[in-house]
Amino acid sequence: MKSPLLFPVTLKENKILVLDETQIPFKEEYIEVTSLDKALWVLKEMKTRSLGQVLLFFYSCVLFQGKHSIDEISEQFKARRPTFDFSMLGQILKSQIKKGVPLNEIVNRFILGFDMMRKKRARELAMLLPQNASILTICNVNGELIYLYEELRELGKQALLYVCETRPYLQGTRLTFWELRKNNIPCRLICDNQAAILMKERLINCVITGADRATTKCDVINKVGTYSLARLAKHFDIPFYPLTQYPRDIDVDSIEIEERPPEESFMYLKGDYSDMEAFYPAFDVTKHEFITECVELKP
Amino acid sequence: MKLDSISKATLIWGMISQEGLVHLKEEKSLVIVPENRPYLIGLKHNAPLLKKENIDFVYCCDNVLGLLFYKGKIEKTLLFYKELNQNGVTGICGSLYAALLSKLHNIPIKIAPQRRCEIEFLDADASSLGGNLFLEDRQDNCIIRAGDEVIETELLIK
Repeated sequence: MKSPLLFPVTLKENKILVLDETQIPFKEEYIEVTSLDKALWVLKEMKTRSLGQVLLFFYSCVLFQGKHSIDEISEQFKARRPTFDFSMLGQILKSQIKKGVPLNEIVNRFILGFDMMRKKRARELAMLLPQNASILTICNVNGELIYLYEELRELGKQALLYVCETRPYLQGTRLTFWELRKNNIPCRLICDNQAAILMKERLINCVITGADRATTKCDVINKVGTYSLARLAKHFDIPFYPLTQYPRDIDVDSIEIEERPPEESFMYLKGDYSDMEAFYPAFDVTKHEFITECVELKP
Repeated sequence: MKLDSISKATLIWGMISQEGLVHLKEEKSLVIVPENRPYLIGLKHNAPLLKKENIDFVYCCDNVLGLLFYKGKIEKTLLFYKELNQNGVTGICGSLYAALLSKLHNIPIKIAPQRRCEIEFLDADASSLGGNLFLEDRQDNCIIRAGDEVIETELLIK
């Protein structure tokens, strides 16, 4: 079982190769990044996100360290995607550099460690889920649902995944549903607004999402639509598990919610809607009272 | 438009009727028009009608509703239903999502009959991107069909 989304960004011969996630499922194309400006463009245009933006940041630090400091790169990244904590990634690198570890080795260790930790997390989550797991999910967690499915099967459990489209970028449709089907994992695609009726009809018995940010209190920020799933799940007494990493002791409401260009609301729709007033906040906040358990990435 | 500039808005769900238009015109509050997937009723039906009547509105994806409630941006929900029955109302796909989120945030829900018309909009199911099917080996059982949803009376009462 595999997915190019498990590692959507790689470093090869002084070039960063970024899987253009906006082209999936139609094409699997990689963008070559050889300058910080190009890396920032890739980030701003949502060519990569989630784990991809972490890898892009790390590789940018490795490749462009002669010309730009880690702080400068993290500030530039934050200016493009303000909700994500790039300064924390910069801190991770700087603390290891202080210990005398070369930058490329820190990054290689991180990537290897990250994959092992998410496999471990998938195992932990699989143990929490019921014998016949009927999982609702939103957006995309970079192949981790494939690891989860493998673990569930290993434990002799059955699983069916319901995937929210995740408008307007359709990460649910184009990335998650696509990678699940490629791996022959039973799945169903739903409109974002069908979550309530599915829960009411007891077709769902757990909700699993990613988390772009998490606090030590287990409040999370994730793709817009996550909060609705958590509130509805709580109402229907369905467990809600976000996959979290590197929680920080901060007030979740103090984190800036990125607002994307309004015209992105009409993505993948035919027609010209440039004269229509719209808004598109990319993330929302889910407080811990609506979360059953944050499933953390642990060493 | 930015989230900060939205306040005391009215959320609509379903196909606006003439009666609904009159009501929204009188109220003069900003109207939130969600996409209403999969038929795109918000985009194809409601937005053009509101524009024609010069009613102030802003468009968003359906999954933004939770954040709007969380931030206290919505003052009232106007739900257009297809049928009124003994147990409550029957509305289009997503009606329960909109109604239940309203209820969970203590936002009053007003109901009104929706306009009757044939739906011939592009994205008739969740497998299409702008009307282009992306599932080449499409199996119908992979897509959850959009159907009507029943909203019980107790959910509609504050």
